[in-house]
Amino acid sequence: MGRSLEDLAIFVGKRLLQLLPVLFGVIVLAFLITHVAAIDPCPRWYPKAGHATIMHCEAQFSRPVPVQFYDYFTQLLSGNWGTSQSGDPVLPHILAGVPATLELVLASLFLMIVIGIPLGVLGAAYAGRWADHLVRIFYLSGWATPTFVGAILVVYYLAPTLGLPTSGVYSAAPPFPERTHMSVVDALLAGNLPYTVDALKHLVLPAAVLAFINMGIATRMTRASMLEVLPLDFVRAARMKGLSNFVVLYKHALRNALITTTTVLGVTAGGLLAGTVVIEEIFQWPGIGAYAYVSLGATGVPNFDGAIAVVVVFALGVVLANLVADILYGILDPRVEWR
Amino acid sequence: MSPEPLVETVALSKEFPLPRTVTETFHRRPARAVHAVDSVSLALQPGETLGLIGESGSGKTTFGWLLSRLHDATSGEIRFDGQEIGRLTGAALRAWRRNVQVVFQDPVGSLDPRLKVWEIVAEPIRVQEKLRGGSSPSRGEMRARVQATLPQVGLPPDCLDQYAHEFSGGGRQRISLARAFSVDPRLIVLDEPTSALDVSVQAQILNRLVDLQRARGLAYLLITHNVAAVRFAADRVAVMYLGQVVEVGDVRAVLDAPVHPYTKALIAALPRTDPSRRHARYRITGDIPTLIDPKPGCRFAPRCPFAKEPCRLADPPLRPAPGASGHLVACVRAEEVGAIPPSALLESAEAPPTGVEPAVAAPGRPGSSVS
Ligand SMILES: Nc1ncnc2c1ncn2[C@@H]1O[C@H](COP(=O)(O)OP(=O)(O)O)[C@@H](O)[C@H]1O
Ligand code: SF4
Ligand SMILES: [Mg+2]
Repeated sequence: MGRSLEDLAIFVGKRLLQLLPVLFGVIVLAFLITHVAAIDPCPRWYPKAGHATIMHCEAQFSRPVPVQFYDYFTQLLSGNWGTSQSGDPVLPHILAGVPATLELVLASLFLMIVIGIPLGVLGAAYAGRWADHLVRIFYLSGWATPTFVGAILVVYYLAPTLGLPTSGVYSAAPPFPERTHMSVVDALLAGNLPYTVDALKHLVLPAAVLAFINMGIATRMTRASMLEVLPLDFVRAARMKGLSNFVVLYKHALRNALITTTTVLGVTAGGLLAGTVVIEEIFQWPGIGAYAYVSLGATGVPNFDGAIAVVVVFALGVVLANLVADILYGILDPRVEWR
Repeated sequence: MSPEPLVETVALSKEFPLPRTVTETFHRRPARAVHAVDSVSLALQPGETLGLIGESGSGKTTFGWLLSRLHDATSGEIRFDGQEIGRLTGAALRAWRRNVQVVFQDPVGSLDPRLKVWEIVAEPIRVQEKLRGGSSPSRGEMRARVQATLPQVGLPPDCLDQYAHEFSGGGRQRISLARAFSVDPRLIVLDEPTSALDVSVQAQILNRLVDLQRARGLAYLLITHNVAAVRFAADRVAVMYLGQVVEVGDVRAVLDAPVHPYTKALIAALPRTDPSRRHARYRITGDIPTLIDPKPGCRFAPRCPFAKEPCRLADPPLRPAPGASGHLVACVRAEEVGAIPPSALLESAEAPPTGVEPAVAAPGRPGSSVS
């Protein structure tokens, strides 16, 4: 019982272990949806392929399901994630795409935190007054905006006004190796300031669209938990210490309200992945969202192996985001015993 | 009464406006308001304990929060050390706060769950040092200072790094006391500080409070339902009814020879040790009273067995009670009804000789209701 470092290690370790069955279940589901639930899959996935390919595909699909799964699972573990129809291996795309998507998601989470949370505090402090209503209008309009509409409006109207780029991660091919596939990090690692600025300029619009659409989650959660915290006497006690209203609100009250908000944001981070599919395609962001879009055949020939890989990776992302949220909650709330 | 009170309120009032109804908006009538504290004038001498009793919803907490500037008064004045503090704002108000601290009723809600004990107690010191332009003591120095004060409130000195949730209710109230005492205030508003605790712990905390007061000479406003606690710890006591003070004076005078019919009711409703009377209750008749835009006249008139026409004309002012000095009462018939003992009222309910009807509503029983 307690909150020592050793307890924390056990707390995190336990949750990592609990993750394994969840992950396995996710993989089983992804497998069932792609292999079993699809009706007559071969002509769909290989529309332009020759007779031989279709025959081969159908032979694969007519084997007993457990055998198919065993094959699929061992291949997945051994790193053989398949190829596209043109023979392009899937795994390198995934490995390069995941960090790029992570960069985009983290950037938009950052915006949701620095804009959405203070707005939530404002809404709670002026609950029912005009400031509260303005805040609500702001986040509801984000919520009500379909991703593609928001992205297209930004590309056509906002970007030219602000003079910001809307495509790719750099304006020109970088003179340094892209080691992490996170554009800003790579430029920083290379010590290349102009490229860092350029990368940030490319990042800000797609991240802002993703953040704007999901802003309501941060704002609403913060407002709701602030309204729970504000009537408590310790907030008044903080005022009695001689602290300014600003410090009372943004330090003492918010620090407690954030326990809930953090958890919800962690879960949301998984949900942001869904938004990346459309946003990455429109902003030509080289992440797994864009890869998912291409693999599903939206731009031409579908890529069966790529599509499955993306489903598994997205599921993994959601599960990991939940894990991070869970651990953060345990760390932020001193009432949680780490073991 | 000594000429220089520590705190003095003059006709202090606090109204909470109700949301406007549709008809009020339509007819452009002003919103109605809850008159939680209604023209209260009280004084506290340095180093004294003033008990404040009255049933739930009578405005005790609101009055305490007005004194400590957690609420802004609707009208009236608060003088602290002769200086009007009702309109202090900004840094001046924040620096003034070291003079008055509050111990809240709820031991759970009054401590920040994310702060350790030493942080809870040290923060007021740090903030006030900063407001006075002093240099902030180092972390180690601060911890040592807090550690030295913990035994004074009955906490073990080695609990610096514990969180509030690791303590029982009594332990939490002790942390609240340590926080309140940390800046050496001149007045502490104790808002039912022991009502959520076990009886044995209540006594320990009250003893601590009395000891600390002797050592430091500060004043208490002791808000409570517990008449025994008032007898034990208070010098004077004020009785509130529907936002107004109906009687105030030395504890003995008010509790042993109450003049105001409401105080009599309160005393008569105390649990009895005499078994034959244990279930007897003072009974009163009349409407359930409201704080919303009250009509002029004695607030207690609808429930008072002695009410007569003059009672309903205007708010009875607080005036000296017959006999004792410094004993004030707000009842127009004080001279006539003052001598009637509370127990007489009790019996009159069981066999009404004076036409007092058997009752529907009982007044708040001290010690039994929680606000
Ligand atoms: N912030 C507030 N807003 C509206 N009404 C309030 C507020 N605080 C207190 N009141 C009302 O004022 C009256 C007095 O409350 P309070 O001071 O808490 O009484 P007590 O402490 O004696 O139980 C009650 O009717 C209560 O409902
Ligand atoms: S003023 Fe009249 S109604 Fe009020 S307490 Fe005195 S006798 Fe009763
Ligand atoms: Mg109260």
